[in-house]
Amino acid sequence: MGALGAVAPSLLSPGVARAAVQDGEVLSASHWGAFTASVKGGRWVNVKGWEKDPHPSHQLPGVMDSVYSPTRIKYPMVRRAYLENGPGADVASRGADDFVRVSWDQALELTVKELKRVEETYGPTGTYAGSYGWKSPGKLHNCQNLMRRMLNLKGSFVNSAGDYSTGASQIIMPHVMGTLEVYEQQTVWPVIVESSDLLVFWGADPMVTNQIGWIIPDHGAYPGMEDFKKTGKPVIFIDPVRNESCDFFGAEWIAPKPQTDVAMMLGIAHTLHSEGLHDQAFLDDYCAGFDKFLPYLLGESDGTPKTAEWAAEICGVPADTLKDLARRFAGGRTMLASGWSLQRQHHGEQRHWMLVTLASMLGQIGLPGGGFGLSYHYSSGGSPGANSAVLSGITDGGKAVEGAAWLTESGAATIPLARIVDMLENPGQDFDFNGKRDKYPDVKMTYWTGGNPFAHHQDRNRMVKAWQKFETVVVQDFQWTATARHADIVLPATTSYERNDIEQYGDYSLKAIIAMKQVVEPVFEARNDYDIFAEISDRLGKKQDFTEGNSEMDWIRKFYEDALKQGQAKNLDMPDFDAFWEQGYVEFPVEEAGRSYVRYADYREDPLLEPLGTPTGKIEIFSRNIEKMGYDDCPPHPTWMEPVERLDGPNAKFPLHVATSHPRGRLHSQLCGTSLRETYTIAEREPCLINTEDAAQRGIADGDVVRIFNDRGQMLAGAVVTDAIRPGVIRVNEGGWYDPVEPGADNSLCAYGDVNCLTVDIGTSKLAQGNCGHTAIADVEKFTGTLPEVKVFSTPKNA
Amino acid sequence: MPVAEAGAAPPEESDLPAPAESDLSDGERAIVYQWLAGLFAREMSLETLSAYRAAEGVALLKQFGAMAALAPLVEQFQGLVASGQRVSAGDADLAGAYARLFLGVGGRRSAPPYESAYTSERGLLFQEASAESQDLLDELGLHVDESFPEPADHIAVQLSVMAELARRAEAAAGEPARTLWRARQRAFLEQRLLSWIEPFYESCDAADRSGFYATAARSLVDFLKADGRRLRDTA
Repeated sequence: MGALGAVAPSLLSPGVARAAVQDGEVLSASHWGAFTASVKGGRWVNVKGWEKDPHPSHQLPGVMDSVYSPTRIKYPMVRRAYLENGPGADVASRGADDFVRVSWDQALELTVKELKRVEETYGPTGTYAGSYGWKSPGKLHNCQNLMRRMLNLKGSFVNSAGDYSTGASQIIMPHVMGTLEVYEQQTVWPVIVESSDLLVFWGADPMVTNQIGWIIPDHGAYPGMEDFKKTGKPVIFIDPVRNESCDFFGAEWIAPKPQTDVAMMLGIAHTLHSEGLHDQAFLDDYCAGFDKFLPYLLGESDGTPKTAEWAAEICGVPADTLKDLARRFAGGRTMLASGWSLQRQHHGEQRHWMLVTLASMLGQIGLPGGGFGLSYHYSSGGSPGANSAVLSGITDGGKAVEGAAWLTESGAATIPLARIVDMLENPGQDFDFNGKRDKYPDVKMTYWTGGNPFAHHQDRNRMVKAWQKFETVVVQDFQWTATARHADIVLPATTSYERNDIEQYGDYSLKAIIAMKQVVEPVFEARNDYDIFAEISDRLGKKQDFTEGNSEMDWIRKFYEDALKQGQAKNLDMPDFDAFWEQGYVEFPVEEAGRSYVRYADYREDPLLEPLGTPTGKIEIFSRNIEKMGYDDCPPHPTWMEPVERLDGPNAKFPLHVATSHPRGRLHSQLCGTSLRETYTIAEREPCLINTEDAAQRGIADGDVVRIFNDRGQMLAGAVVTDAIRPGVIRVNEGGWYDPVEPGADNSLCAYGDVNCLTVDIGTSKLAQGNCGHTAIADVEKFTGTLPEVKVFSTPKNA
Repeated sequence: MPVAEAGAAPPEESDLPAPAESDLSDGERAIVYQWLAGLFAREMSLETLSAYRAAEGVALLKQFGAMAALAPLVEQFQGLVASGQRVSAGDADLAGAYARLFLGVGGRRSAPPYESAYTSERGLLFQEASAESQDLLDELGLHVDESFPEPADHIAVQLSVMAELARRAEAAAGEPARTLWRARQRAFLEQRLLSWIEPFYESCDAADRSGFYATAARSLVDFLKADGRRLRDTA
């Protein structure tokens, strides 16, 4: 049977397998929180929230499932045409072409060869490595830093700036407040509970979105929200959807037309001024440029007074309601807490700027429970901070930026990240960005890790075409995302739970450091990000520079010991590394300063000694710097401008606005491939909330499959007919996995429900160039064609 | 140490039996199981396709082709082998089909080759079926070779277990021991493979564009069922 041996070599060998990991319980952590994993026979069999987590996320079982999902990338794979014909082969077939398994050696050889070819042929701007996305937490296996660390050793690359979450706000806020504002500690919840008379959530769903954190969320906002609810004090939600948080608080719901918030705020501001409710002393002492804004508010500069009546016409909220809001805001201590949806829209910069202006007119910034906050919905902003030591982490090897060790300047060129498709379509063309003008580089290759741009980027059809400009696409991930399906070389990475790492607990509170211990052995041929990039560096002759001679555990020990030194200087009680690793975590004390923190209290106390980081040292309601830029789409004070399209806007081509909120059962697109989907899908598709009237007009019943369409794309969804959404608005959450019925074809129908098939891909303005993921109008109809099967998920037919 | 000796001399043409499934000896059944395991373990490499073109390979196929259950598969195989010239295209076609069906590339239109995917509540890999398959390997004093980083409920591993159990029956000294090994084959076949092989085939049939693996899965189902009947009669 020699032939048999040749065609069917044995898969079994003598000897009993040795369990690589021990049975028992392991503490580890994720974007969804810290958890205890039960391991049996080398398998992860159960998960429960960490005992110290006050509000574990219901998504944790999905985290476990993601490890064992049939959508795992199991082996290195290369797109067939690419394997046969090399870079640039049949790029139009990406997404539809076959993939062929190759060895790790062959995959890395192809990757390294191409990195070198592109560098030698096209120079330092040939490779786009602005790879963005919600990579897993962990100070070592930070795949994006590791990738750029390798690329810095190789030569250079094109980097990206900013993020999709807060693109507009993080650029405008430094001009206005002198800080990023969106990623800063808020006036803490105990103070809000004690001192706020009125809590306003503007475009936010904090019960939903606080589930996740960029590092390990401590979920400290949940006890805060529960305590506030117990006081019985009023809460208002301003949102086109009566969202889960509104229901949790039993709050008042005001539903403006989407994208009209600036007009609505102007109407409130006008009322404050006309009724003398504004705090002129605060505006004089702490703000700059209200005098330049006021003529606009009153209509002296443009002939249009921004009265409540004027605003009501635009935003659809009655003038009396706007006036009442002005009086209530001014009538007690009011916290204006805004989500980020407001600024992911055309002219998104204006909305938080106007919110700050409104809060400045109320004069409560820096007082306990008053002012504004841009992170109450995210990573538990307002969770009281601890006196803690901070971990260092792996760097990309670029030049450190003064004062912000976590930011580096790397790369031969940088683009604002949401402009990637503009870059691909228009190499060499000028673009504006926050006062600078630059040219789009001519990129030929990309290496993407820890992200899924085929979920987070806008206008999918346009993107699919633009993506063809890449001669080579390398994607390193642990699952077959839509981005992996549109790649040439696909490298299987481990999940966080198949390796060791270390991370901070509580994005703002920094309450603990947690040992993210390996739960199970790597599955299939998955390798750790650190090992993959170390091996590529080795093949580039730079292994020592990459690893500095350190193993995984060497680095983790080093990061901890850096923190330990700080801890010792602060007299914190911290064990040595071995004791810490054994214990699994070290906690830090939350002291009085943390429990009573009021944002901008220092500034209010002494504006001269504690000036803001703006040119005037004050809150800039008028910005000379922005004025100097002379942008037509970002004037020097908050201004209402019509977005490119909106519900009932001038020349609106479609009758409905599409709200694209963050989902309850996912982190953007992450975990869409898990059984959590059963908690939200309708007819196996993304749910589409539609108002009862809008549904009736179109003959749509609850549970129907509907087609949503505009002039950019089309998708299917499952209808949820409800009165918890205002008429004229439908909602499909962002992050549904892109599932084209005809991959690569023009305007393919998405069978599952990727709402970015419909959204507009333009910059918020020349200032921030942020994405406009909430700018979309469309129409919807009951789908009557032959229903295409959803095929993105590997759920077997008979399971 | 591989369980099958790759270097053994090829059998003479006259030695090859052409029996119906019911007449197969345990040793012959072990060969069929190992062959089927190899078919689903990996993509077919150029070397594998070449091996089927060599005299021994041709003889092997002929032997399998005599079995009713395997005849359609062997016929397809012979067509593939005979198509000759474009060997590398054939190789890549099958590799692409394999990846789509069995390596997750095809998403929902795929056929995960793991019992867990069909028998666990949430359609996941590495579930109870995987643990139980691993327990049996431990019991047999075997483990999945490091060169095959797959869980123990992978179809190729389960088929290899059947091959091993059949070999042990063949090698057993005396009828009582042989009966015992046959009973274990029957139990493993019924509890494991037959519990999920039909839905696995249906997934292959629905998703396979090449047709090759759908045919292979159909032949597999037919052979397993026939073998199940045989074991019921003899074990």
